[in-house]
Amino acid sequence: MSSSETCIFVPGEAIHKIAGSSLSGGTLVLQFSQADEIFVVAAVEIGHDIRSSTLPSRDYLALNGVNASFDGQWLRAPEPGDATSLHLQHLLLARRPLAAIPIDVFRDLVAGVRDPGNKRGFLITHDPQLPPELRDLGCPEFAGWTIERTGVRPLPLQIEPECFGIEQLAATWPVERMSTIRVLLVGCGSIGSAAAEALASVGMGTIDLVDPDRFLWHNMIRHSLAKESVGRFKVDAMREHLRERWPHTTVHPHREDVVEDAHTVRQLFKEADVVICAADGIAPRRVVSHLARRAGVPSVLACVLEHGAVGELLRLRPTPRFGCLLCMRAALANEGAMDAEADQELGYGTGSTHQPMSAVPPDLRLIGTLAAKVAVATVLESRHGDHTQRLPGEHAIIGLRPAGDLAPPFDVSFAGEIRWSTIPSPRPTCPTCSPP
Amino acid sequence: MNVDDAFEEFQQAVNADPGAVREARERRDLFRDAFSSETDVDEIIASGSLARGTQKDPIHDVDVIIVFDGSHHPDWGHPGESAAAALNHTRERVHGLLGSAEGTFAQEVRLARWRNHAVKCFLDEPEDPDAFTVDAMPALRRDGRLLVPEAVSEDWIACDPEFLIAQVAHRHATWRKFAGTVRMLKSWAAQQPFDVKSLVMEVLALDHLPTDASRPAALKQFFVSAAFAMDGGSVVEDPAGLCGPIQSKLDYAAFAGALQAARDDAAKAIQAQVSNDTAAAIAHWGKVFGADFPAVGRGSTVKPTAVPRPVKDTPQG
Repeated sequence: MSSSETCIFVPGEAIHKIAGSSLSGGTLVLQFSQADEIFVVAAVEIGHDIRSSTLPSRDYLALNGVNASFDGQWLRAPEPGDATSLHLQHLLLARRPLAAIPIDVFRDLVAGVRDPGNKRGFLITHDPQLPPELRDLGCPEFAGWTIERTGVRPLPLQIEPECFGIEQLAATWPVERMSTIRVLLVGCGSIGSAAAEALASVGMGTIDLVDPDRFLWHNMIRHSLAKESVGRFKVDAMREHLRERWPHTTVHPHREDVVEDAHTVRQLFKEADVVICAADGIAPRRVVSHLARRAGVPSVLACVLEHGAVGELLRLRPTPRFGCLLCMRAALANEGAMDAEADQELGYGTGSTHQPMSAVPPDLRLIGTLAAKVAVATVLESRHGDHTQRLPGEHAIIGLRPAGDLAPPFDVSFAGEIRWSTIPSPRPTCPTCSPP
Repeated sequence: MNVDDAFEEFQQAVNADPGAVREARERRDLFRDAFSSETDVDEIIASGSLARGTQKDPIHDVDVIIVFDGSHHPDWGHPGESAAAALNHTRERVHGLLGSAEGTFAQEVRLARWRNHAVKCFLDEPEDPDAFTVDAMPALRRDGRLLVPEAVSEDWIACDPEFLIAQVAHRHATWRKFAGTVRMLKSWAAQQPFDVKSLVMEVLALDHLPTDASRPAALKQFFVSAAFAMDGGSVVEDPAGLCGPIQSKLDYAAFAGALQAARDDAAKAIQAQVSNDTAAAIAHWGKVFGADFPAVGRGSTVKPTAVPRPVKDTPQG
């Protein structure tokens, strides 16, 4: 049964009302949307001549797009006698395209089916006594039918499920554990907004968003937010955006600059299970590296380098074996792999707080999503012993538009290539890694 | 045999002999009863793995802390000779109360010698293969902590063994298999080709052994997250935050490597169990825990080397 066929959408409200009605059958009001070729159960007769509205909330724009109304019918399925269950026949018929039950035969099977005349009638049957073995076979408790004089055919029902969030994945994803995890996300720009969406969509319990900036026109090209958010603080708009789509994630907005407001943001690091930094520029990343280390919390630093040619993810673990951002950068500079003075520092002290972004939106989204993946995997492996979430290293270089002319370890050659390596141990004199 | 049966059998193998446990408790009670009538003793605390319920076979010693009243020993608790003096006093009172010749309470202790922190009391005949000692440690209680003598440094050190006892008790109250599973981890450590103190495993278990999973799942999670922590260069320290590293000479690189190997075998065991391959699961757990873990029964289909599973062509978009 393909979801592209014409079908009837049955809101959960309609299901509850049919199942709970003391009647053995009644009328339905179906609304039809011509643009999408869908029927929606808009009202159910729950008592004699008493109809109750069942339309879903206005958030479901397509399901509320009405062009015409039709009368339908619902009936309680008959007890199966020596014949097979009505809904088993529904299942078997649905597997045989164009097959139909003659209307006289169907009306003998199901008492009370109205004569459709020369039109097409719609019927929903409900079998509350459906045996478990038939449910296991795929028989539905609620079945849809089109009734025509030429025959009765199964009609797909799309029933609103009790649960359609991340809970559905509870058998294969640690949904309950995720709901207890708290992530601090510094930077709600192109990469940060993608990371935030990824975090919320895996069922993250709490996300603290830190960013002092407003969402402006020039942000729209790469950001998860759109026109309606222009002018708003990014953290506030992102909270609303995430709440609409993933209401089970608690989002706390903080209109703060992690550098200037480090004294107040510091507490958030102590409360976090993991930190992601997707902020522009060197200073915020250094502050995040320092505060996370001091708080004993792992952090993931995400960015693109070389005008979007490569992406970089750093996982900083506050343990004796692994150094901080400064230790990593010092090692890269010593190896001639990174020119911190010319290419990075000068650009930020000359009136502009960040380099003009020249990466394409999907590349930034890729880095943001991967940063979220690394953060979640880190917590699941380290805290919850999830062997399926082990990472190959602490430092990832991702080819986005690589020209192949960069020094190792940035010398990826292919778009889509991901190269993992480790990071150096703390420098003996490192002010971040040395105990305070 | 299913995986749970195998773990039950393994549990019996790592548990201390019930007779030895009974004997150990009787010896603990003997010291408690003997010292409780001493005028300079405030309390007697059962300590060590027996108090935590994490003792594995064989029992080597029973730990008893004798908390003395500081007002009777005003010179104790300070750097210098008082550490040795406290140990001497304890040894003399053991002899006086429980010495095999002159004991006024009972004649049970054949020999008492003090070590760095405690007086080791021998009750068994030297040739007894099941012999174990009672280690009586003098202490003072100050500021909610215990001060215990350290003969080598001629000083007193603060410790809080009751913290670990309480933590293990809390975990065990949450999950009745906690203490038994810790015994399994101690058995794993005892099989390593380098020295790992039992207490290292107990403290690691506090941090990394979950209390909301089945035993195989909990053990797998332990090995994964403990391997992650040790790989990062972390050191196992006194959970009460007083005594620093528990085993300063532990070969942490080897320890991390052993945990990683156990992690990989445990993950394979879990995956085999998910795939309903009980024999393979048991075989992989056998690799983790060694010869004491039940062998796969005869007629098993488990292969000596794991064959990579082919990917099913069931694409989803």
